[in-house]
Amino acid sequence: MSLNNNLLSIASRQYVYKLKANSSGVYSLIFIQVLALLFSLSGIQSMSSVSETLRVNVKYFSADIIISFTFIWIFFMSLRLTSINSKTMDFTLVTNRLSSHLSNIGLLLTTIIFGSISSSLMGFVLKIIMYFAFDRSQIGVNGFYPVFSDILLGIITTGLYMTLIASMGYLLGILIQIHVLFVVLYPAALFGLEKVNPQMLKLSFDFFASETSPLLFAIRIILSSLIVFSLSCLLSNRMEVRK
Amino acid sequence: MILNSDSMKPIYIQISEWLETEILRANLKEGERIYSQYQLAEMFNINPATAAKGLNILVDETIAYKKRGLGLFVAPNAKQFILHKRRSQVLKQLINEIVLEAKHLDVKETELMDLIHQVFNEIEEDKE
Amino acid sequence: MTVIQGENLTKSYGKTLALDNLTFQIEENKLTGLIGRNGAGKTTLLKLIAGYLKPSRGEINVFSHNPFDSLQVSANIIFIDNHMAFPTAFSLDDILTEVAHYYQNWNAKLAHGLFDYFSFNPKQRHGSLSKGNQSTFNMIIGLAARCPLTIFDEPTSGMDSAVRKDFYRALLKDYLEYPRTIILSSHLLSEVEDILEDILLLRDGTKCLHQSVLELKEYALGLKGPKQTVLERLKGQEILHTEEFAQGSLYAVIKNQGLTSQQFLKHEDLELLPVSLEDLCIYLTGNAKGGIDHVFKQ
Repeated sequence: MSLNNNLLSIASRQYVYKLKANSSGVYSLIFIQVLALLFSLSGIQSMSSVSETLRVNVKYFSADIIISFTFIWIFFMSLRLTSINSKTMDFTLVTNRLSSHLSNIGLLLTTIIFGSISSSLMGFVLKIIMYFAFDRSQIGVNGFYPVFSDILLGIITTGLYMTLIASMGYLLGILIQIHVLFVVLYPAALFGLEKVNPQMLKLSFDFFASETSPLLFAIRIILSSLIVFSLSCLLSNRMEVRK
Repeated sequence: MILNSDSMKPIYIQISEWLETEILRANLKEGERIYSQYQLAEMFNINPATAAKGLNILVDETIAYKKRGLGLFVAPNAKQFILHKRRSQVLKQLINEIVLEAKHLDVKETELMDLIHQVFNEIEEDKE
Repeated sequence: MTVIQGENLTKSYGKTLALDNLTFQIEENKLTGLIGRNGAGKTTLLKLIAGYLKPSRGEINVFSHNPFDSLQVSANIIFIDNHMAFPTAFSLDDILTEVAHYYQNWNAKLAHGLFDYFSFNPKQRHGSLSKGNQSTFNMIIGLAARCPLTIFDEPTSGMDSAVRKDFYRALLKDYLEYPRTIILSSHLLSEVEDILEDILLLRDGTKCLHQSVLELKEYALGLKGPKQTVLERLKGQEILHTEEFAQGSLYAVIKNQGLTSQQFLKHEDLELLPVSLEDLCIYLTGNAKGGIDHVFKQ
């Protein structure tokens, strides 16, 4: 019986295995982001005012749709990793529950890095299209010409939000494993919370969004994700490994 | 040789008898090393424990002897011993069965003896 | 050394009892057959050993560890059944390469040798293989992994008889070359009995018997003859099975208690028949309803 089978070495082996197995997921991400880019091209908001001498037509363009689509994508990606099928794949080879979770989280983090960078690149593509589509004098927004530190901050913020969303998706996936009813219960609980205390969701959102210090913001998100991921691991311990 | 798994004879006895026959045919000579249980298992597609039991019979009957760490070897006079044993035991048992069957079929002793003579001659003729 | 030890092992799913107070142990480097009817608890037992399931009561130890959710045990076990799944992104060739990283005794030469012998297409996906070919492919992984404990749960389902024969031969040859503890559950006892050393027979979640094949082969005797004569000989014997196959003729299977065949043959009209292991197991695990013939007599 071999002894050098520590948790990290096996989890990292599983991570590499999953990375190779899910490399095609990149295409789905790019597809979704291009789709979002096309939606963004029509502008997300426009207003116009007309006076006798002047006609103003303002159109807002933003990469919000791209980022929203990326968020949805990571949510389903994390949901998929908790499916019975991917669990069976893990338990076909050497694993235990913890190493399986660790490698899943590792895979999610890798995808998040990729997803946040690519979504900010897509934002660039949008800007470049705008740049050529309109007369330069017509573009009147501050921050159109990117500063490196802003880009970096954007990527990190997107990545952090994705991490939080991924942890929520992962938790939902585990809950569904425990009982299918959680497909309904999970959103119902969120909705119910809103009913009971309308401030609840806003407060929890503000908890992250209103933080002005990037460092504190990062710490809040990382800690919250860590708690949600740990909760998922703990909950999965209630179940049998493989039916 | 292919083993007969439906036979009343257990497979390990078939193994030991096959080895005895190999010795009688001088395919295995006295003082020579006998197949190991693993070789036999491979040859006959059986579990090595079954093969080991077949080999143990040979050791118990002093047809083979163990050399530590080297395996089993054919004992001196093994051939003589097997011939003697087969005559006294195997042949007798076969005859026992023949006589019982003859009784079932109401075949008289003289008739049976005639039959044996006849088969004897047939085989002799075949040889020539 | 004892590799697997089960003490009063009980497993229930809701109200159904799959395993009931099973105590057994399996020694190192033995090739054991796990035999039993459908629903006797074979798969449940194997999953408990592999650490997939938690016992409801009792204890199980594999390599002196509790196998449930144990990385240590998982690294030393391979569990082959037809539920094995691989990522759809991997071709068969990829799977062989990737799986190799998980098992330190992996024998790539054997894996590729068998892969070519069974003419697999390296570019094909696992999911698109036929059931029999999937079993064959899984078997290749099971053999090449050379895990200290190798578990095959109904490995030959869907294989044709030629492939089954090849599989048993490959299993035995690799076992001889690299001895390890192997458990093989199968319906087709007649096909595997020669390569097995021990048999663990389950009946309704309990241990019916656990003996070496050599002992089991001499466990029972079949007697055939006129009903009266046979019944006379049955006195004082442990009867496992009786069957009236013709008017006034009886076939009985009794436990062999050191009687030599000669003692029986001396009796005129009595015929002695060997009892195959497969039949023996059917008699031992049979229900008390008098067999299928009984249904048609009513």
